[in-house]
Amino acid sequence: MRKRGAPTAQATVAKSEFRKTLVKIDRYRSLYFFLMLAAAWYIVFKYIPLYGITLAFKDFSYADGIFGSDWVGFKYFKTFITNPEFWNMVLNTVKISVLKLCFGFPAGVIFALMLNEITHSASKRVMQTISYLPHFVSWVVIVSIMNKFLSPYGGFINEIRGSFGYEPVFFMGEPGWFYPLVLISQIYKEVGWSSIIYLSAISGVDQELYEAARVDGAGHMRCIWSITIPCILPTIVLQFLLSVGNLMHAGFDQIYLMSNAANSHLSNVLDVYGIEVGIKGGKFSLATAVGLFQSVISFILVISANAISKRVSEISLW
Amino acid sequence: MKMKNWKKTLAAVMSLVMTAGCLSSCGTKQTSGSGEEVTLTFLNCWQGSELPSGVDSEHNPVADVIAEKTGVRIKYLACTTSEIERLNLAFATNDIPDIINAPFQGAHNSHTIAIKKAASEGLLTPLNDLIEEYGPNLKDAWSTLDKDFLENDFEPENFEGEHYFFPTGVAATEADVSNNAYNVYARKDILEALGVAPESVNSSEKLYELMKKIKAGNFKDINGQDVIVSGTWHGGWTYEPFYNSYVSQRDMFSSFKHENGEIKLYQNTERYKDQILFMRKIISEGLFDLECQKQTSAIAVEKMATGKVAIVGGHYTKLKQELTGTLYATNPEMEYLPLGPIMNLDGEPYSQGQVRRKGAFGGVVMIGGNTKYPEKAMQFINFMNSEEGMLLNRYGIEGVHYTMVDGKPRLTPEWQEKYEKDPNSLKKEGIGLYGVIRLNNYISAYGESTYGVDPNEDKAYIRAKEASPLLLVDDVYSLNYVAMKYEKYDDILTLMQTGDGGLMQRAMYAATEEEALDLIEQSRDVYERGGIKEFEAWMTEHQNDGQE
Repeated sequence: MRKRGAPTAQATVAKSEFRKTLVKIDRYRSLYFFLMLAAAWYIVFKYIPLYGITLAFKDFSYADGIFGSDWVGFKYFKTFITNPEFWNMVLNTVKISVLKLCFGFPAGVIFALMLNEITHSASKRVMQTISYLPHFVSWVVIVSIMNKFLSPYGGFINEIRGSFGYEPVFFMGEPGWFYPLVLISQIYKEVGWSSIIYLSAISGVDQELYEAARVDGAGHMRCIWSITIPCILPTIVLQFLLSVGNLMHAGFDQIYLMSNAANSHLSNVLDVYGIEVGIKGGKFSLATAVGLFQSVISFILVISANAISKRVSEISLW
Repeated sequence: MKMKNWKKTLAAVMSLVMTAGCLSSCGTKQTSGSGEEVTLTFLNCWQGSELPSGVDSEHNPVADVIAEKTGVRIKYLACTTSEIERLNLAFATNDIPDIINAPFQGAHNSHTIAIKKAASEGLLTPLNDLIEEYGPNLKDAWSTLDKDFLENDFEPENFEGEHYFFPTGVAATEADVSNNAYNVYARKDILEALGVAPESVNSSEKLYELMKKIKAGNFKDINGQDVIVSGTWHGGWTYEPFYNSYVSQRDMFSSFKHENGEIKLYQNTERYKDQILFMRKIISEGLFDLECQKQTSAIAVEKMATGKVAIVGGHYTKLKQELTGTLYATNPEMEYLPLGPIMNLDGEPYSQGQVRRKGAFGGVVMIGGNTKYPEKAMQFINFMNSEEGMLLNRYGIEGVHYTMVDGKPRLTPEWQEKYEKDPNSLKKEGIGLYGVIRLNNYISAYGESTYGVDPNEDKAYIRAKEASPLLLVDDVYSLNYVAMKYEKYDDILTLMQTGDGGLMQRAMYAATEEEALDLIEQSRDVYERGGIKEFEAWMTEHQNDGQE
């Protein structure tokens, strides 16, 4: 019979495991320090503000703040969903993000594969740096450059067209040019940056695989197709799953700046609506309801995509 | 070791200095040693209110006089985003400046809604007692307001007799009512080359004919590039004067319009459709700047300063302000002349509606509810609204910046010259910085619209005013205020804010008139689904409510 208060064998094992963990943490404390910074960032900027979600169910009062305002249930969701433009906005948002996913997402992978094929290291570094730079430039600047380049009044592209005798085109205002320009500018701005993660995955591929393949007579394309892509596939799938979470977000800055009267039927998206009605119209509760709606759908999409991926490819986020 | 101690001491001293620095910048008020002088924050909540470099709002000759008279120094805060965003930020975070001047156009205008909400929720300081004790110059601050504006926006029932803000920019006399002369302006050299007298362009259709002639005339800007036939300043401001012939001025103070005995949302009226179709015609024929609806202020100024736009919609003051030192200096032959007057839908010269003495800009001044020094804030506001304060704000210090000439203040020749070379030179002295003044009395009290300019002798301005006269109106009861009594007004407000997803605007860019008409119908459908028909029926029934 075991004495009262004596530790069980399980407890002893658990205690020693815990001690081992502490020893490990101590050994890698500098790495844990960096992890802590990231965790702190998430807690402060992503988790703590979650209490603000309640605003979607309240009538916001300046004086009472988020906590003190009165509950109104689903009033603002109803206002939002019964808005005559609701389906148009949802459709526009999904169209833009699906296009970005179909074209922008593979662009990063393809660019990483192309960069990997540059053997001259100095040229490779220059190319990488040049491709990262636009990521750090704000959309305001990018769209201003586009406006200048594509202007029907002395813009670079229209000047070239003019020299061949063609009439100028108002690219930024032609609805037909809206999606191509959204995609081109998105790829130009983000392709370099999104390729980083794939480049690092590629650098982890065992070089012996390539050597063995070359001995067997495989060329460049065969190596890419049969070695590089399968090896980085888990990274690609993980990135894809995370991108699916953005399907309800078309990107506020870019679309807001590129929207105008002529393309408004395409550029009227949820992100812009939230800002216009919420911040400019002072309807914070309605804006929060829009944001929450987007987040819940995104959450469902990520969960579903992850489940499908797990079943089909055995690669998943968790 | 010694070195280490020295480093530690230095680090400790630096931390102390930084901590002290942080603490001193926390909060907005400081008292001087005597405890008499306080610093109050003043948010000039108007876009473009940034101070030019070299201007120190707290320390300048005028600030010193104000501090001496009132014990208040003003820390100026500019509005670097849209006014409504800045107001919402201040109220939602409860980080409210001591004094604010912000737009307040009334009724369903977003600034008005935010400010009234803040007042009713206790975020603004009540003014009645403060004025009684410290603000004799503001006692009749609400006396010039129109009935509808006063009873719905300044003295609504839920304020229970209290006041939280007072109007600014109110014309002191009828002579002070400002007329910026909104109109379409065309380059003088082009009109001369075409042999067109500006007065002869008195309808939107004649304007259209002029545009076609300009397009065929192959005119150039100062760089030898083709001109754009017509356009606007930033963000499409403003193409409205182009279609003045399709505007009725009967109900200019409301978003809801009379048509055949009924009250309709503007978008549902025939004249609105005609305006859209007119714009579509000039856009589709390449007669209107395609980019101007989204262009920035810098781009717009660049275009105008190079004479790139042959006909521009806007006002005289803006043209004079932006082009005096640029296009008008280098190419005076390209001066922009006002066209018309263009006749409106009622067959009368189009004129800007202005409720008599209400104030051209529709701004209000308020005191933040968190201020530690409401009395000081009121003393400062009261002083600035005294004759002495108004003169100080407009002309600076007598003997330094101005002298009295025939009983009127005039900048000294030295300051007049400095002002003409650099309009910001007076701001550096603190002149015109503290916008808490109720009355605009520049013309009636000082005889000058701007420094050195007698409006009665400015021929170009007189002609601009003739082409775009002001229509002074009394006793308006805007339909906007009638609408506020509608049971589902909040839904209608949201519908109007959300709009039609840009369908009506898109109709302007439609390739054919049929397509435009189809888009207009789609837009009207959106409003109908939002319940506008029931609202219009209710409005028609109640259109005379509130009228005396």
